[in-house]
Amino acid sequence: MKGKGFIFNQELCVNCKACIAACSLENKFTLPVRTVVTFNENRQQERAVSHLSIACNHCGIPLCMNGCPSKAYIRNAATDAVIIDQEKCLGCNYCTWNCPYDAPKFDTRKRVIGKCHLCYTLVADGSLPACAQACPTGALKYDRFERHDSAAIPLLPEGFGIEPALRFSEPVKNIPLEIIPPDNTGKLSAAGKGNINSKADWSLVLFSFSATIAAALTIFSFFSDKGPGSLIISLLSLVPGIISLFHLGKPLRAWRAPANIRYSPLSREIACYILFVTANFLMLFLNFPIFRLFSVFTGLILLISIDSVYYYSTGKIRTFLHSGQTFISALLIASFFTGELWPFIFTVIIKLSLSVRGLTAYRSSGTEMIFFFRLAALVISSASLLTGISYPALPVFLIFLTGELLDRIIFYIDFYPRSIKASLNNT
Amino acid sequence: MDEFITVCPRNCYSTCTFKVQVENNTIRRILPYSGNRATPEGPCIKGLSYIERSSSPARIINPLIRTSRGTFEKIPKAEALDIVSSKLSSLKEKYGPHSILWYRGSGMSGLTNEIGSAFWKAFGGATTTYGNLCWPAGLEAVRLTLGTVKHNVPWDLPNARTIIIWGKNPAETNIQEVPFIAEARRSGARIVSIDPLRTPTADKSDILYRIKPGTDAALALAISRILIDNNLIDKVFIEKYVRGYEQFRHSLTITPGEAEKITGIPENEINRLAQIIGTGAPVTFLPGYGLQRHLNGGQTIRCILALAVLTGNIGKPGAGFNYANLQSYVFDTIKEPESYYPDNETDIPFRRSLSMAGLGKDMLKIKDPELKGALVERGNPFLQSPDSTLVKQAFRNLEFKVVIDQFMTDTAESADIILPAKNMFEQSDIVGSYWSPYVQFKPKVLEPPDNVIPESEIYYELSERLGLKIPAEQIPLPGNENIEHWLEKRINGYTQLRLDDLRNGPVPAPGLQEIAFSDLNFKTRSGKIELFSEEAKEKWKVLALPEYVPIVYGSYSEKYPLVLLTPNAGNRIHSQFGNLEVIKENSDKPAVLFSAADATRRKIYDGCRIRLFNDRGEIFSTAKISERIPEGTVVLYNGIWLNEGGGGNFLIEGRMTDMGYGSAFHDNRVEAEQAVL
Ligand code: SF4
Ligand code: SF4
Repeated sequence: MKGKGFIFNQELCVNCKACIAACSLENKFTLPVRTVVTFNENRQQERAVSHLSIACNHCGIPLCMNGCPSKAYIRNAATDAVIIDQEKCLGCNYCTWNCPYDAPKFDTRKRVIGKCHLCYTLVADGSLPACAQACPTGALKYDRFERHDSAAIPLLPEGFGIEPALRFSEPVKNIPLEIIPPDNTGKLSAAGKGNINSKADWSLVLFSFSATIAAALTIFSFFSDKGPGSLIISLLSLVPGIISLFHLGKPLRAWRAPANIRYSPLSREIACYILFVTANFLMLFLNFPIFRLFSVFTGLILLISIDSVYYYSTGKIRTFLHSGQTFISALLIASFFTGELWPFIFTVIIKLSLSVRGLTAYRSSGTEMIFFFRLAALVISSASLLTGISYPALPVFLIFLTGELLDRIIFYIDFYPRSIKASLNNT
Repeated sequence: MDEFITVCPRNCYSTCTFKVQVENNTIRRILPYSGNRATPEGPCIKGLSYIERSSSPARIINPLIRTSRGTFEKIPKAEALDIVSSKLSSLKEKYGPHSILWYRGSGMSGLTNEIGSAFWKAFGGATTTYGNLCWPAGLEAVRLTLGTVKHNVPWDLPNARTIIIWGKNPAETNIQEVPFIAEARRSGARIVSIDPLRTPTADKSDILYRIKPGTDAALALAISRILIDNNLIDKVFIEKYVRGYEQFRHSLTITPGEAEKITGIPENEINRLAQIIGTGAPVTFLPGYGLQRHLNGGQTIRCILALAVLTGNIGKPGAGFNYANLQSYVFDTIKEPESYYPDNETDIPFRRSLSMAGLGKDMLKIKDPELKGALVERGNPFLQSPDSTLVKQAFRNLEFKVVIDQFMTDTAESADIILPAKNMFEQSDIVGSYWSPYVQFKPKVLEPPDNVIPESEIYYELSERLGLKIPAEQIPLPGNENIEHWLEKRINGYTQLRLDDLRNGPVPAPGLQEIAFSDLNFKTRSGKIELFSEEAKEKWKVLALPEYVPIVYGSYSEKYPLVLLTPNAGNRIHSQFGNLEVIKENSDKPAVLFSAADATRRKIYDGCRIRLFNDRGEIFSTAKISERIPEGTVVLYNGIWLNEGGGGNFLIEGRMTDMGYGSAFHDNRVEAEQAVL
């Protein structure tokens, strides 16, 4: 893609933040949309310290725009700027997960996303974006260049493959500063401030967990007479929807959520959810096996769509399968309820091995206790089921469900959306 | 929208030119102006913040009077001026004019600042200050050695093959120098920082020599000796242009081994540094001002400057000693640093018996008459003078205090009357620079708020009320046309400078030497570069030769082991700017910075409340553990307001530098502990 973009000279940037100030003075945004991230912030001797002033790179393949369920992002034709329409934003934060450069930021006062808009009116008039105009060292420029994606940001492994309008003007040298006499006054721990925070919240844990249970119950009822009746299942299927509203910055705009079904996994998740609820209510009136099967089917699709929302995460134990994924959990819960031994044993083995991996990855991280409890719950409850002792007594049932809830919590503990800060610290 | 070219009048190296866009009497945008070769990319974050500063809701836009309850109340302009003039005249009648202190800080530069002088002279005089808080020790050291305080133009720096940044932090205090350093580095120059702190500038260097504070002279003298012993000096240059080389050579008794003990830098590394300097020509030295805010500051600068002299790095492209470049200060009859000295103004009715460094102490001590009143403009002595506690006490003793300011500073809080000050956009002026070589015009681009009048008009109104007949050449009539007329007259006689040319952008100073001393003409007593200076000895009672004098810290140095440094912060000019939102958003919270080792030893952790104290006082602040700080040193940036915890001056003794009547801020020790809440 040809066009204009930011050209950054890392040798010149001294982290003065004039670019950030210029942006906020020009645009009066209520939150700083530009940041300066520092590479080797803890000043370890082996590496050079350098900075990168970054906001939105108005990518050729904008993950924010593609993922936005509400089609709140548009591309400005005159400047190629990727712009958010705050009137359409739901405040779901999905774009903050998808953007590897942390460009969209949740504005806690307005409760929607704020993002750099490239000063598109200035740029359309032939001026520069305020940040590039202001940089007093000339580190940040805005000019024409060919976007080569892989060479975009040499500090990052391979770029992100999305054609950012950002390029370094020189290869990064990374010559460490020689300090005389060498520093031996005790260094700060390399971990420093730790990774970025998980951007999820409790409403997401509860939404996905209640959806898992609702889907599991449809399976249970399909295969066993002991399962709950259609009324209970239909009412239960409403719970996740209500909970999910708490996650939104603008709950009243929730109706927009399925708008981007073509590109956004989140839109698809919401569409699947609506389908699932519809199927369950249909069952109230048309309680035939084919409709019950339909409800089971929509439930499983819903779970797959939930799991696909978290595709871009870069946690420590991420693989194709994660023991906290809703799909596996629903299968386990359903087989636990129906008492079908072989499916149960099969999913337990998968879950156990994945959980042990999680425990190893998070050993001595301060959160390992939750992994222990999760494992213990699974071992105790499956032992009861397999030996038939005291099953289905209430305590075992509760222990089992707590275990599954913990697994979902672990899923979020290990949930790290891609982020430039994390990427810089890992290079 | 109107657009103007203007200049930043702050006490800052850069003196940036920039464009302002004005709409509805408000500053809308600040944009770079590429016609200034030293600042083509535009101003720093402080310069940008004028958009907020010029229309900040916190600005004082009405005269205020202190009520009996201690609060401030608005009063009409005329009434405020009436009160001030009648108070001044009654103090003069009762105690004489010298019972009034006229205090000026460095808050805004410009030729119109002279107008106050005319008023006070006609008033019959006043007590004023001598010396300066900032840089005079170094200025005097350079003047004694080279005769004139100047250096190459900033854009010559890329010609250097070696750049020695000695105690300067341009990344934060002269950011427009960063691109020149980077350009030199790109074309192969070696960048060396010598600093106790790992500054952002050091992060951009090849080597950082982490020297112990106050020992720079010892390092420089050891290097001189190595240079001479290894024949790395410019013999021809010395022969022709240098006075006192032989005496200097014989005085070099500090061996690299001894220097290691003093400075903390290993002997072999001192040898390597000498090689770098001796073989790296052209070498430009970038000394900072913190370096000379020591008791031994003047001699330290002389020692370092000797390195440039011995190696012949004077008067050539890419070479030099860039302490200050006063080439654009063409209008002063007496130039800095000499204008700071008491004996140079004896012909006028000013009694200059208060030192800037020891302001509080001197104010309390002065007799015949005692001080009864004060007028403070462009300054914030409560925070910026050493020994803040004494300064506050001395001000509290006064009967009547007037403070002229734009914001409610800690000094303004103590006033009986506050007169609102103009901001930089509200009156025309002419500004020089101590780094770039330009004379610049600063036009009036905004109408001041209704009740704000520029200082020149305050003085005009006061002189009218007091019946002082002062001619208009000295105090112009109100109105900006009259100021511009006055400026025009003031620069009359410099044929290259015409107001109309200045309006179009910066003009190089008349007689500018792009490469300073390229004529090898040195205006010292002997006409040569003086390593040996009788004048130094006569005037300052120091050795005629550069010398390392160990720092004598305040008493109880055992009890207070940590050296307190109070360097300038990137986002403030002394106590200015820190009150603005855009600055706060983009700065770290004020904190005392510790090395991890010192913090651990005191059970101080990142973010913990601490008490920093010594015999002079205490302050409460937050601790921050930083890789920038060496063991044995703590840093508290200069200019922190009381409502943010207060600055280091509460812990700093008001002592003078060895020459130039500067202030030795950096020779104090403190102790720290977790604060009990
Ligand atoms: S203004 Fe320029 S030098 Fe300052 S932080 Fe931004 S990019 Fe870096
Ligand atoms: S404070 Fe200094 S660097 Fe900043 S705009 Fe003013 S002159 Fe330029």
